[in-house]
Amino acid sequence: MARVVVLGSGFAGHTAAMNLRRKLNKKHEVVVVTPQKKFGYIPSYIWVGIGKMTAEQTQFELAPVYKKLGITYVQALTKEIHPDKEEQFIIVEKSSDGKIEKINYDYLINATGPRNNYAATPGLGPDGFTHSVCTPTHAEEAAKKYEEVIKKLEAGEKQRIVIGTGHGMATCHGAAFEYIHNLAFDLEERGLLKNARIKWISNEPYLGDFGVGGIIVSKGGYEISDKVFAESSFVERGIDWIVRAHVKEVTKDKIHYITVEGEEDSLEFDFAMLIPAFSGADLKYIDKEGNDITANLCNPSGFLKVDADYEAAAKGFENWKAKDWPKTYQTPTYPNLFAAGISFAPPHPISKPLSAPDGTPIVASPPRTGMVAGIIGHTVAHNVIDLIHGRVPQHSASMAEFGAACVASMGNSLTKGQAMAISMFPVVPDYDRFSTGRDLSYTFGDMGLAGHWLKLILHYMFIYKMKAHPLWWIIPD
Amino acid sequence: MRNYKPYTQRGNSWMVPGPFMKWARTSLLIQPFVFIYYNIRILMVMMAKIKETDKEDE
Repeated sequence: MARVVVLGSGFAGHTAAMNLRRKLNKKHEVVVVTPQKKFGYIPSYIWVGIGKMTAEQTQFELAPVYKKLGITYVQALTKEIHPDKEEQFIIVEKSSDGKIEKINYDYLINATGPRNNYAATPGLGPDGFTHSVCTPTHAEEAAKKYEEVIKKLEAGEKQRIVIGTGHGMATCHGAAFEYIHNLAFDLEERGLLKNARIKWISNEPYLGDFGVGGIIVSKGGYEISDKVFAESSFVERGIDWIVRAHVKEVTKDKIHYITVEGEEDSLEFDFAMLIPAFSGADLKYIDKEGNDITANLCNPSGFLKVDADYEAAAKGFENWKAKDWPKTYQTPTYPNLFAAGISFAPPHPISKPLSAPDGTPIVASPPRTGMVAGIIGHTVAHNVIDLIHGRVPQHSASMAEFGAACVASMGNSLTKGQAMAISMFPVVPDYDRFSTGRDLSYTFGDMGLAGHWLKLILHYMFIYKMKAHPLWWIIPD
Repeated sequence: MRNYKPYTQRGNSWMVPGPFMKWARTSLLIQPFVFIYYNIRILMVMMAKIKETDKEDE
Protein backbone atom coordinates (compact mmCIF):
# COMPACT_ATOMS: atom_id res chain seq x y z
CA MET A 1 0.00 0.00 0.00
CA ALA A 2 1.29 3.47 -0.89
CA ARG A 3 0.34 6.82 0.57
CA VAL A 4 0.34 9.73 -1.87
CA VAL A 5 0.21 13.12 -0.22
CA VAL A 6 -0.86 16.15 -2.27
CA LEU A 7 -0.04 19.57 -0.83
CA GLY A 8 -2.54 22.14 -2.01
CA SER A 9 -6.09 22.12 -3.35
CA GLY A 10 -5.95 24.56 -6.25
CA PHE A 11 -6.23 23.67 -9.93
CA ALA A 12 -3.06 21.53 -9.90
CA GLY A 13 -3.46 19.86 -6.49
CA HIS A 14 -7.19 19.20 -6.72
CA THR A 15 -6.88 17.82 -10.27
CA ALA A 16 -3.96 15.59 -9.22
CA ALA A 17 -5.84 14.26 -6.17
CA MET A 18 -9.04 13.54 -8.12
CA ASN A 19 -7.17 11.70 -10.87
CA LEU A 20 -5.05 9.74 -8.42
CA ARG A 21 -8.13 8.57 -6.59
CA ARG A 22 -9.88 7.65 -9.81
CA LYS A 23 -6.98 5.67 -11.25
CA LEU A 24 -5.35 4.16 -8.15
CA ASN A 25 -6.48 0.95 -6.48
CA LYS A 26 -8.37 1.67 -3.24
CA LYS A 27 -5.64 -0.07 -1.20
CA HIS A 28 -3.51 3.03 -1.83
CA GLU A 29 -4.26 6.15 0.17
CA VAL A 30 -4.57 9.65 -1.31
CA VAL A 31 -4.20 12.48 1.20
CA VAL A 32 -4.75 16.18 0.48
CA VAL A 33 -3.12 18.60 2.90
CA THR A 34 -4.28 22.18 2.47
CA PRO A 35 -5.02 25.13 4.73
CA GLN A 36 -8.02 25.91 2.53
CA LYS A 37 -11.54 24.98 3.53
CA LYS A 38 -12.90 25.74 0.08
CA PHE A 39 -11.90 25.35 -3.54
CA GLY A 40 -11.86 28.69 -5.32
CA TYR A 41 -12.43 29.13 -9.04
CA ILE A 42 -9.78 31.82 -9.48
CA PRO A 43 -10.66 32.93 -13.06
CA SER A 44 -13.94 34.40 -11.76
CA TYR A 45 -12.38 36.45 -8.94
CA ILE A 46 -12.17 39.39 -11.35
CA TRP A 47 -15.99 39.46 -11.37
CA VAL A 48 -16.03 39.37 -7.57
CA GLY A 49 -13.66 42.35 -7.65
CA ILE A 50 -16.20 44.55 -9.43
CA GLY A 51 -19.22 43.24 -7.55
CA LYS A 52 -20.66 41.23 -10.47
CA MET A 53 -20.38 37.93 -8.62
CA THR A 54 -20.24 36.98 -4.95
CA ALA A 55 -17.24 35.16 -3.52
CA GLU A 56 -19.59 32.31 -2.60
CA GLN A 57 -20.43 31.75 -6.26
CA THR A 58 -16.77 31.04 -6.97
CA GLN A 59 -16.19 28.60 -4.11
CA PHE A 60 -17.35 25.30 -2.62
CA GLU A 61 -16.48 23.25 0.47
CA LEU A 62 -13.72 20.70 -0.11
CA ALA A 63 -14.62 18.25 2.71
CA PRO A 64 -17.81 16.77 1.12
CA VAL A 65 -16.03 16.31 -2.23
CA TYR A 66 -13.09 14.49 -0.69
CA LYS A 67 -15.42 12.37 1.46
CA LYS A 68 -17.39 11.36 -1.65
CA LEU A 69 -14.22 10.45 -3.54
CA GLY A 70 -12.52 8.63 -0.65
CA ILE A 71 -9.66 11.10 -0.32
CA THR A 72 -8.26 11.83 3.14
CA TYR A 73 -8.56 15.57 3.76
CA VAL A 74 -6.28 17.27 6.27
CA GLN A 75 -6.95 20.96 6.73
CA ALA A 76 -3.51 22.13 7.74
CA LEU A 77 -0.61 24.32 6.67
CA THR A 78 2.54 22.46 5.66
CA LYS A 79 5.57 23.84 7.49
CA GLU A 80 8.34 21.36 6.65
CA ILE A 81 9.10 18.60 4.16
CA HIS A 82 11.58 15.89 5.21
CA PRO A 83 12.36 14.12 1.91
CA ASP A 84 15.33 11.89 2.90
CA LYS A 85 14.91 8.18 2.26
CA GLU A 86 15.00 6.78 5.82
CA GLU A 87 11.70 8.33 6.85
CA GLN A 88 9.84 10.69 4.55
CA PHE A 89 7.31 12.93 6.18
CA ILE A 90 5.86 16.41 6.34
CA ILE A 91 5.23 18.59 9.38
CA VAL A 92 1.91 20.38 9.36
CA GLU A 93 0.06 22.85 11.55
CA LYS A 94 -3.60 21.88 11.87
CA SER A 95 -6.01 24.68 11.01
CA SER A 96 -8.54 23.61 13.65
CA ASP A 97 -6.38 23.78 16.79
CA GLY A 98 -2.90 24.83 15.66
CA LYS A 99 -1.42 21.48 16.69
CA ILE A 100 1.76 20.35 14.96
CA GLU A 101 1.48 16.93 13.33
CA LYS A 102 3.69 14.61 11.33
CA ILE A 103 2.34 12.89 8.20
CA ASN A 104 4.40 10.16 6.50
CA TYR A 105 4.33 9.80 2.76
CA ASP A 106 5.53 7.48 0.01
CA TYR A 107 4.93 9.99 -2.78
CA LEU A 108 4.56 13.73 -2.43
CA ILE A 109 3.15 16.29 -4.85
CA ASN A 110 3.86 19.91 -3.99
CA ALA A 111 1.00 21.93 -5.48
CA THR A 112 0.98 24.65 -2.86
CA GLY A 113 0.64 27.39 -5.48
CA PRO A 114 1.86 30.94 -5.08
CA ARG A 115 2.24 33.16 -2.07
CA ASN A 116 1.19 36.73 -2.78
CA ASN A 117 4.44 38.52 -2.07
CA TYR A 118 3.09 41.99 -1.29
CA ALA A 119 6.14 42.62 0.90
CA ALA A 120 8.34 42.79 -2.23
CA THR A 121 6.82 46.22 -2.96
CA PRO A 122 6.49 48.57 0.02
CA GLY A 123 2.93 49.83 0.40
CA LEU A 124 1.43 47.26 -1.98
CA GLY A 125 -1.59 45.11 -1.14
CA PRO A 126 -4.65 45.15 1.08
CA ASP A 127 -2.49 45.90 4.14
CA GLY A 128 -0.99 48.81 2.20
CA PHE A 129 -2.69 51.17 -0.21
CA THR A 130 -3.70 49.02 -3.18
CA HIS A 131 -6.13 46.18 -3.78
CA SER A 132 -5.88 42.82 -5.53
CA VAL A 133 -8.16 40.08 -6.84
CA CYS A 134 -5.84 37.20 -5.94
CA THR A 135 -8.06 35.75 -3.20
CA PRO A 136 -11.85 35.91 -2.68
CA THR A 137 -11.40 38.10 0.41
CA HIS A 138 -9.12 40.51 -1.42
CA ALA A 139 -11.51 40.60 -4.38
CA GLU A 140 -14.41 41.44 -2.05
CA GLU A 141 -12.35 44.26 -0.52
CA ALA A 142 -11.56 45.54 -4.03
CA ALA A 143 -15.29 45.48 -4.85
CA LYS A 144 -16.08 47.54 -1.73
CA LYS A 145 -13.52 50.16 -2.67
CA TYR A 146 -14.82 50.14 -6.24
CA GLU A 147 -18.32 50.88 -4.91
CA GLU A 148 -16.91 53.97 -3.17
CA VAL A 149 -15.33 55.03 -6.47
CA ILE A 150 -18.70 54.67 -8.22
CA LYS A 151 -20.41 56.81 -5.58
CA LYS A 152 -17.81 59.55 -6.05
CA LEU A 153 -18.15 59.39 -9.82
CA GLU A 154 -21.93 59.61 -9.50
CA ALA A 155 -21.41 62.70 -7.36
CA GLY A 156 -19.49 64.24 -10.26
CA GLU A 157 -16.00 63.80 -8.81
CA LYS A 158 -13.08 62.75 -11.03
CA GLN A 159 -11.46 59.46 -10.08
CA ARG A 160 -8.01 58.14 -10.95
CA ILE A 161 -7.88 54.37 -11.34
CA VAL A 162 -4.69 52.35 -11.87
CA ILE A 163 -4.72 48.64 -12.75
CA GLY A 164 -1.83 46.30 -13.57
CA THR A 165 1.12 44.62 -11.92
CA GLY A 166 2.74 45.83 -8.72
CA HIS A 167 6.28 44.52 -9.19
CA GLY A 168 8.89 44.13 -11.92
CA MET A 169 8.77 40.33 -11.62
CA ALA A 170 4.99 39.90 -11.37
CA THR A 171 2.89 37.57 -13.49
CA CYS A 172 -0.86 36.98 -14.01
CA HIS A 173 -1.24 39.92 -16.41
CA GLY A 174 -4.35 38.25 -17.77
CA ALA A 175 -6.24 38.81 -14.50
CA ALA A 176 -5.31 42.50 -14.49
CA PHE A 177 -6.22 42.77 -18.19
CA GLU A 178 -9.65 41.26 -17.44
CA TYR A 179 -10.16 43.49 -14.42
CA ILE A 180 -9.38 46.75 -16.23
CA HIS A 181 -11.73 45.86 -19.11
CA ASN A 182 -14.55 44.73 -16.81
CA LEU A 183 -14.18 47.91 -14.80
CA ALA A 184 -14.21 50.09 -17.93
CA PHE A 185 -17.23 48.17 -19.26
CA ASP A 186 -19.11 48.57 -15.98
CA LEU A 187 -18.38 52.30 -15.81
CA GLU A 188 -19.49 52.74 -19.41
CA GLU A 189 -22.74 50.89 -18.67
CA ARG A 190 -23.32 53.24 -15.74
CA GLY A 191 -22.47 56.28 -17.87
CA LEU A 192 -19.54 57.14 -15.60
CA LEU A 193 -16.56 56.42 -17.83
CA LYS A 194 -16.07 60.08 -18.78
CA ASN A 195 -15.07 61.13 -15.27
CA ALA A 196 -12.77 58.17 -14.70
CA ARG A 197 -9.13 58.35 -15.71
CA ILE A 198 -8.08 54.72 -16.07
CA LYS A 199 -4.44 53.81 -16.46
CA TRP A 200 -2.61 50.51 -16.94
CA ILE A 201 0.87 49.86 -15.56
CA SER A 202 2.74 46.61 -16.06
CA ASN A 203 6.13 44.96 -16.34
CA GLU A 204 5.34 43.56 -19.78
CA PRO A 205 7.79 44.49 -22.55
CA TYR A 206 4.73 45.63 -24.52
CA LEU A 207 0.98 45.55 -24.16
CA GLY A 208 -0.34 42.04 -24.89
CA ASP A 209 2.80 40.16 -23.87
CA PHE A 210 0.96 38.43 -20.96
CA GLY A 211 4.21 36.83 -19.77
CA VAL A 212 4.16 34.38 -22.69
CA GLY A 213 6.21 36.51 -25.04
CA GLY A 214 3.08 37.74 -26.80
CA ILE A 215 1.15 35.84 -29.42
CA ILE A 216 1.27 36.02 -33.19
CA VAL A 217 -2.07 35.18 -34.80
CA SER A 218 -3.11 34.73 -38.39
CA LYS A 219 -5.88 37.16 -39.29
CA GLY A 220 -7.13 38.45 -42.62
CA GLY A 221 -4.18 36.86 -44.38
CA TYR A 222 -1.66 38.63 -42.16
CA GLU A 223 0.46 37.36 -39.28
CA ILE A 224 -0.25 39.93 -36.58
CA SER A 225 1.05 40.44 -33.04
CA ASP A 226 -1.63 40.48 -30.33
CA LYS A 227 -0.05 43.80 -29.30
CA VAL A 228 -2.10 45.39 -32.11
CA PHE A 229 -5.34 44.04 -30.66
CA ALA A 230 -4.47 44.75 -27.02
CA GLU A 231 -3.56 48.37 -27.82
CA SER A 232 -6.66 48.73 -29.97
CA SER A 233 -8.82 47.54 -27.10
CA PHE A 234 -7.23 50.03 -24.68
CA VAL A 235 -7.53 52.92 -27.14
CA GLU A 236 -11.19 52.07 -27.83
CA ARG A 237 -11.96 52.39 -24.12
CA GLY A 238 -9.79 55.46 -23.58
CA ILE A 239 -7.35 53.64 -21.31
CA ASP A 240 -3.79 54.92 -21.22
CA TRP A 241 -0.88 52.58 -20.47
CA ILE A 242 2.65 52.36 -19.13
CA VAL A 243 4.64 49.20 -19.81
CA ARG A 244 8.20 48.00 -19.00
CA ALA A 245 7.69 49.34 -15.48
CA HIS A 246 8.64 48.15 -12.02
CA VAL A 247 6.56 49.54 -9.15
CA LYS A 248 9.11 50.52 -6.50
CA GLU A 249 6.78 51.71 -3.80
CA VAL A 250 3.19 52.70 -3.16
CA THR A 251 2.35 55.53 -0.81
CA LYS A 252 -1.10 56.74 0.24
CA ASP A 253 -2.13 58.07 -3.17
CA LYS A 254 0.93 57.59 -5.36
CA ILE A 255 2.50 54.70 -7.22
CA HIS A 256 6.22 55.22 -7.67
CA TYR A 257 7.76 53.39 -10.60
CA ILE A 258 10.84 53.07 -12.77
CA THR A 259 10.87 51.96 -16.39
CA VAL A 260 13.35 50.11 -18.58
CA GLU A 261 14.11 53.46 -20.22
CA GLY A 262 15.09 54.85 -16.80
CA GLU A 263 12.09 57.10 -16.35
CA GLU A 264 11.34 57.48 -12.64
CA ASP A 265 7.91 58.91 -12.01
CA SER A 266 4.76 58.47 -9.98
CA LEU A 267 1.09 57.96 -10.72
CA GLU A 268 -1.57 59.49 -8.51
CA PHE A 269 -4.53 57.24 -7.80
CA ASP A 270 -7.82 57.01 -5.93
CA PHE A 271 -8.22 53.28 -6.53
CA ALA A 272 -5.56 50.81 -7.61
CA MET A 273 -5.67 47.07 -8.26
CA LEU A 274 -2.15 45.76 -8.70
CA ILE A 275 -1.17 42.08 -8.92
CA PRO A 276 1.81 41.36 -6.63
CA ALA A 277 4.90 39.28 -7.38
CA PHE A 278 4.46 35.61 -6.52
CA SER A 279 6.77 33.45 -4.47
CA GLY A 280 6.70 29.84 -3.36
CA ALA A 281 4.83 28.67 -0.28
CA ASP A 282 6.50 29.46 3.02
CA LEU A 283 7.77 25.96 3.83
CA LYS A 284 11.18 24.41 4.48
CA TYR A 285 12.88 21.30 3.19
CA ILE A 286 14.91 19.56 5.93
CA ASP A 287 17.42 16.72 5.43
CA LYS A 288 18.03 13.77 7.76
CA GLU A 289 20.67 15.70 9.73
CA GLY A 290 18.19 18.47 10.35
CA ASN A 291 19.80 20.90 7.88
CA ASP A 292 17.66 23.33 5.92
CA ILE A 293 18.14 22.31 2.25
CA THR A 294 15.44 24.60 0.83
CA ALA A 295 18.00 26.70 -1.08
CA ASN A 296 19.34 23.55 -2.80
CA LEU A 297 15.92 22.32 -3.90
CA CYS A 298 14.17 25.60 -4.72
CA ASN A 299 14.93 28.66 -6.82
CA PRO A 300 15.37 32.05 -5.07
CA SER A 301 11.60 32.68 -5.23
CA GLY A 302 10.91 29.43 -3.37
CA PHE A 303 9.58 27.37 -6.28
CA LEU A 304 10.64 23.69 -6.39
CA LYS A 305 13.18 22.71 -9.03
CA VAL A 306 12.11 19.76 -11.17
CA ASP A 307 13.36 18.09 -14.37
CA ALA A 308 14.00 21.37 -16.20
CA ASP A 309 17.35 22.62 -17.51
CA TYR A 310 18.11 25.37 -15.00
CA GLU A 311 21.54 25.99 -16.54
CA ALA A 312 19.79 27.29 -19.67
CA ALA A 313 18.84 30.59 -18.02
CA ALA A 314 22.45 31.79 -18.18
CA LYS A 315 22.63 31.13 -21.93
CA GLY A 316 20.54 34.21 -22.65
CA PHE A 317 17.13 34.83 -24.22
CA GLU A 318 18.29 34.14 -27.80
CA ASN A 319 19.47 30.66 -26.82
CA TRP A 320 16.48 29.48 -24.80
CA LYS A 321 14.94 26.32 -26.17
CA ALA A 322 11.74 24.33 -25.78
CA LYS A 323 13.73 21.44 -24.29
CA ASP A 324 14.66 23.61 -21.28
CA TRP A 325 11.14 23.12 -19.90
CA PRO A 326 10.25 20.23 -17.56
CA LYS A 327 8.28 17.21 -18.76
CA THR A 328 7.56 14.92 -15.79
CA TYR A 329 7.83 17.49 -12.93
CA GLN A 330 9.84 14.99 -10.90
CA THR A 331 12.60 16.43 -8.71
CA PRO A 332 16.04 15.12 -9.68
CA THR A 333 17.19 14.50 -6.09
CA TYR A 334 14.07 12.82 -4.73
CA PRO A 335 12.25 10.71 -7.38
CA ASN A 336 9.07 10.47 -5.27
CA LEU A 337 8.78 14.26 -4.91
CA PHE A 338 6.96 16.22 -7.63
CA ALA A 339 5.84 19.81 -8.13
CA ALA A 340 2.70 20.82 -10.01
CA GLY A 341 1.15 24.08 -11.16
CA ILE A 342 2.71 27.32 -10.01
CA SER A 343 4.86 25.46 -7.46
CA PHE A 344 7.41 24.24 -10.02
CA ALA A 345 10.35 26.51 -10.79
CA PRO A 346 10.39 27.51 -14.48
CA PRO A 347 13.86 27.27 -16.05
CA HIS A 348 13.64 30.89 -17.20
CA PRO A 349 11.00 33.41 -18.26
CA ILE A 350 9.21 33.10 -21.60
CA SER A 351 9.16 36.85 -22.26
CA LYS A 352 12.37 38.71 -23.00
CA PRO A 353 13.93 39.78 -19.69
CA LEU A 354 14.67 43.49 -19.38
CA SER A 355 16.06 45.71 -16.65
CA ALA A 356 16.06 49.32 -15.59
CA PRO A 357 19.31 51.33 -15.89
CA ASP A 358 19.87 50.80 -12.14
CA GLY A 359 19.80 47.02 -12.70
CA THR A 360 16.28 46.41 -11.40
CA PRO A 361 14.97 43.36 -13.28
CA ILE A 362 11.76 44.00 -15.19
CA VAL A 363 10.59 40.61 -16.41
CA ALA A 364 7.06 39.41 -17.02
CA SER A 365 7.13 36.04 -15.25
CA PRO A 366 5.58 33.02 -17.00
CA PRO A 367 1.97 32.25 -16.06
CA ARG A 368 1.29 28.67 -14.90
CA THR A 369 -2.26 28.96 -13.71
CA GLY A 370 -5.67 27.61 -14.80
CA MET A 371 -5.56 25.18 -17.71
CA VAL A 372 -1.76 24.85 -17.55
CA ALA A 373 -1.90 23.99 -13.82
CA GLY A 374 -4.69 21.47 -14.41
CA ILE A 375 -2.80 19.70 -17.22
CA ILE A 376 0.39 19.53 -15.13
CA GLY A 377 -1.53 18.25 -12.06
CA HIS A 378 -3.17 15.54 -14.20
CA THR A 379 0.17 14.49 -15.69
CA VAL A 380 1.94 14.39 -12.33
CA ALA A 381 -0.84 12.14 -10.96
CA HIS A 382 -0.18 9.68 -13.80
CA ASN A 383 3.57 9.82 -13.21
CA VAL A 384 3.09 8.99 -9.52
CA ILE A 385 0.91 6.04 -10.58
CA ASP A 386 3.72 4.94 -12.91
CA LEU A 387 6.15 4.94 -9.97
CA ILE A 388 3.72 3.02 -7.75
CA HIS A 389 3.48 0.37 -10.48
CA GLY A 390 7.27 0.14 -10.69
CA ARG A 391 7.63 2.06 -13.96
CA VAL A 392 9.63 5.19 -14.68
CA PRO A 393 7.37 8.25 -15.16
CA GLN A 394 6.09 7.98 -18.71
CA HIS A 395 3.77 10.99 -18.94
CA SER A 396 4.99 14.29 -20.27
CA ALA A 397 3.44 17.75 -20.06
CA SER A 398 6.07 20.21 -21.18
CA MET A 399 4.68 23.71 -21.59
CA ALA A 400 6.63 23.71 -24.87
CA GLU A 401 4.62 20.70 -26.09
CA PHE A 402 1.03 21.38 -25.13
CA GLY A 403 -1.31 24.20 -25.96
CA ALA A 404 -3.62 26.24 -23.79
CA ALA A 405 -6.77 28.25 -24.18
CA CYS A 406 -7.56 31.41 -22.28
CA VAL A 407 -10.77 33.38 -22.22
CA ALA A 408 -10.18 36.89 -20.90
CA SER A 409 -13.39 38.62 -19.84
CA MET A 410 -13.86 42.19 -21.06
CA GLY A 411 -17.36 42.86 -19.77
CA ASN A 412 -19.94 40.88 -17.83
CA SER A 413 -23.28 41.00 -19.63
CA LEU A 414 -25.17 38.24 -21.45
CA THR A 415 -26.07 40.53 -24.37
CA LYS A 416 -23.45 43.30 -24.33
CA GLY A 417 -20.44 41.67 -22.65
CA GLN A 418 -17.29 40.61 -24.42
CA ALA A 419 -14.25 38.45 -23.87
CA MET A 420 -11.03 37.78 -25.69
CA ALA A 421 -10.73 34.11 -26.62
CA ILE A 422 -7.12 33.08 -27.11
CA SER A 423 -5.58 29.73 -27.82
CA MET A 424 -1.90 29.08 -28.30
CA PHE A 425 0.09 26.03 -29.24
CA PRO A 426 2.48 25.46 -27.64
CA VAL A 427 2.44 27.69 -24.54
CA VAL A 428 6.22 28.19 -24.64
CA PRO A 429 7.31 29.30 -28.12
CA ASP A 430 9.44 26.78 -29.98
CA TYR A 431 11.39 28.67 -32.63
CA ASP A 432 13.11 25.49 -33.83
CA ARG A 433 9.74 24.18 -35.04
CA PHE A 434 7.74 27.30 -35.87
CA SER A 435 9.02 30.58 -37.29
CA THR A 436 6.60 32.56 -35.10
CA GLY A 437 7.26 30.29 -32.10
CA ARG A 438 3.82 28.71 -32.28
CA ASP A 439 1.72 26.72 -34.73
CA LEU A 440 -0.47 29.31 -36.46
CA SER A 441 -3.09 26.71 -37.38
CA TYR A 442 -3.85 26.27 -33.68
CA THR A 443 -3.01 29.72 -32.32
CA PHE A 444 -5.78 32.26 -32.59
CA GLY A 445 -7.28 35.26 -30.84
CA ASP A 446 -10.60 37.02 -31.20
CA MET A 447 -12.94 39.13 -29.10
CA GLY A 448 -16.70 39.23 -28.89
CA LEU A 449 -19.86 38.39 -26.99
CA ALA A 450 -19.38 34.67 -27.70
CA GLY A 451 -16.21 34.84 -25.62
CA HIS A 452 -18.23 36.02 -22.63
CA TRP A 453 -20.67 33.14 -23.04
CA LEU A 454 -17.71 30.78 -23.18
CA LYS A 455 -16.17 32.26 -20.04
CA LEU A 456 -19.47 31.93 -18.19
CA ILE A 457 -19.94 28.31 -19.30
CA LEU A 458 -16.37 27.49 -18.26
CA HIS A 459 -17.13 28.88 -14.79
CA TYR A 460 -20.05 26.51 -14.22
CA MET A 461 -18.47 23.59 -16.08
CA PHE A 462 -15.25 23.66 -14.05
CA ILE A 463 -17.03 24.04 -10.74
CA TYR A 464 -19.14 21.00 -11.77
CA LYS A 465 -15.95 19.11 -12.57
CA MET A 466 -14.10 20.12 -9.42
CA LYS A 467 -17.11 19.06 -7.32
CA ALA A 468 -16.60 15.60 -8.83
CA HIS A 469 -20.15 15.33 -10.10
CA PRO A 470 -20.99 12.39 -12.43
CA LEU A 471 -18.67 11.98 -15.42
CA TRP A 472 -16.42 14.82 -14.19
CA TRP A 473 -13.40 13.20 -15.81
CA ILE A 474 -14.82 13.73 -19.30
CA ILE A 475 -14.38 17.49 -18.93
CA PRO A 476 -10.85 18.42 -20.11
CA ASP A 477 -8.36 20.08 -17.73
CA MET B 1 -6.31 58.47 -24.69
CA ARG B 2 -7.69 59.41 -28.06
CA ASN B 3 -6.97 57.98 -31.48
CA TYR B 4 -6.43 60.04 -34.65
CA LYS B 5 -5.83 63.40 -32.99
CA PRO B 6 -6.17 66.16 -35.60
CA TYR B 7 -2.90 67.55 -36.97
CA THR B 8 -0.67 64.83 -35.54
CA GLN B 9 1.45 62.15 -37.15
CA ARG B 10 -0.76 59.27 -38.26
CA GLY B 11 2.06 56.94 -37.26
CA ASN B 12 1.16 57.57 -33.65
CA SER B 13 -2.31 56.06 -34.10
CA TRP B 14 -3.68 52.61 -33.41
CA MET B 15 -6.07 50.18 -35.01
CA VAL B 16 -9.62 50.79 -33.77
CA PRO B 17 -12.83 48.95 -34.69
CA GLY B 18 -15.26 50.63 -37.07
CA PRO B 19 -19.05 50.66 -36.62
CA PHE B 20 -19.57 47.28 -38.34
CA MET B 21 -16.99 45.50 -36.19
CA LYS B 22 -18.44 47.06 -33.02
CA TRP B 23 -21.89 45.84 -34.02
CA ALA B 24 -20.68 42.40 -35.06
CA ARG B 25 -18.82 41.80 -31.79
CA THR B 26 -22.05 41.84 -29.79
CA SER B 27 -24.54 40.89 -32.51
CA LEU B 28 -26.94 38.15 -31.43
CA LEU B 29 -27.19 37.13 -35.09
CA ILE B 30 -23.49 36.55 -35.56
CA GLN B 31 -22.17 35.59 -32.13
CA PRO B 32 -23.86 32.15 -31.87
CA PHE B 33 -21.83 31.08 -34.93
CA VAL B 34 -18.70 32.68 -33.44
CA PHE B 35 -19.39 30.68 -30.27
CA ILE B 36 -19.35 27.43 -32.25
CA TYR B 37 -16.16 28.57 -34.01
CA TYR B 38 -14.43 29.32 -30.66
CA ASN B 39 -15.38 25.90 -29.33
CA ILE B 40 -13.99 24.15 -32.39
CA ARG B 41 -10.73 26.15 -32.22
CA ILE B 42 -10.25 25.44 -28.53
CA LEU B 43 -11.03 21.73 -28.99
CA MET B 44 -8.43 21.64 -31.76
CA VAL B 45 -5.80 23.04 -29.40
CA MET B 46 -6.67 20.57 -26.68
CA MET B 47 -6.37 17.67 -29.10
CA ALA B 48 -3.18 18.89 -30.75
CA LYS B 49 0.01 17.06 -30.00
CA ILE B 50 3.52 17.82 -31.11
CA LYS B 51 4.86 14.89 -33.10
CA GLU B 52 8.46 14.24 -33.90
CA THR B 53 7.45 14.10 -37.54
CA ASP B 54 6.21 17.70 -37.51
CA LYS B 55 8.02 19.81 -40.00
CA GLU B 56 9.27 23.28 -39.39
CA ASP B 57 7.07 25.84 -41.06
CA GLU B 58 9.97 28.04 -41.96
